[in-house]
Amino acid sequence: MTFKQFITEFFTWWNGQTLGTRLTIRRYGEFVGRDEFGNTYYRDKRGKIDGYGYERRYVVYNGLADASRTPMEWRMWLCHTYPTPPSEEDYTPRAWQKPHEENLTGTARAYRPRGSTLSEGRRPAATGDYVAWTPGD
Amino acid sequence: MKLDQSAKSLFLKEFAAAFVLSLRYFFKPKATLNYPFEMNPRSPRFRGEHALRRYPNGEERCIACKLCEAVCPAQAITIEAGPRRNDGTRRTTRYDIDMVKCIYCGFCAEACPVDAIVEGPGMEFSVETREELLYDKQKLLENGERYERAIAKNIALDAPYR
Repeated sequence: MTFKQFITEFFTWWNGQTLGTRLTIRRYGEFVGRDEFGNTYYRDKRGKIDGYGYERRYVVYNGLADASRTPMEWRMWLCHTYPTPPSEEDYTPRAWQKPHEENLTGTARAYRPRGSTLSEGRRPAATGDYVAWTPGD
Repeated sequence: MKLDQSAKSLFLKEFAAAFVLSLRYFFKPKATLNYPFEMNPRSPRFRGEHALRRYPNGEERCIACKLCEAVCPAQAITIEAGPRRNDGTRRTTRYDIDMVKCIYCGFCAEACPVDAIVEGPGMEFSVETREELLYDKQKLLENGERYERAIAKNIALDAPYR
């Protein structure tokens, strides 16, 4: 762990992991897998310790700590919907499936509906099942 | 009575009791989660961000029957069915969901006869401007392309209970 890493993990909570998460994972964590974006996933070696009847599962982000950066199938494993992590299943995506994308709001690549003043392209014309309101009537 | 009260305030009885109570909770397992690094349990039925699915061969499922538009209690869905395409199938030319109006009741997914519109597992789609929540057909299809693996698995996990 470099000095810069220590400083960012000690004082911030948006850089991959916090110092507390790092120490918890080093002590109790068990490596589970890595997704295509470099985020790594861990489970707790101690099993069900929470009193809730489920084990604890952790993610260490590769870069900004934002929950939308985990692919959806890993996200579902993290929130205990799936018992087995996606890396243990063999799954071949179909040609039309796209890779996961983080929430891009606030960036230039954010989603804009067609017709927005911030996007190019015009809104498709209405097909005429209603009459547009005109001011002045 | 008066002696009782004086003894209480002299020995800080309430203070000690509160301190013991907080100490007891200090050693109990925490109910809070370290959120972006850990997450709370979620059902496969979770109703989150909408997606329009495709058939395994890549053809879009929606047939523009407008059942979801009719059943939507918030009237958040707008559909326009276009002229039939060259292959003779009926498709939507516009499929807009106003995610600001949507109340995430899941009726659209229940009404859909071809499992085209689903409420996917996505939750982290908060945005900075309102217009980013006015989803059009392209965005919904893209959601389906990105989340198909998780959506299909969730539907399979939920199937025994339906």
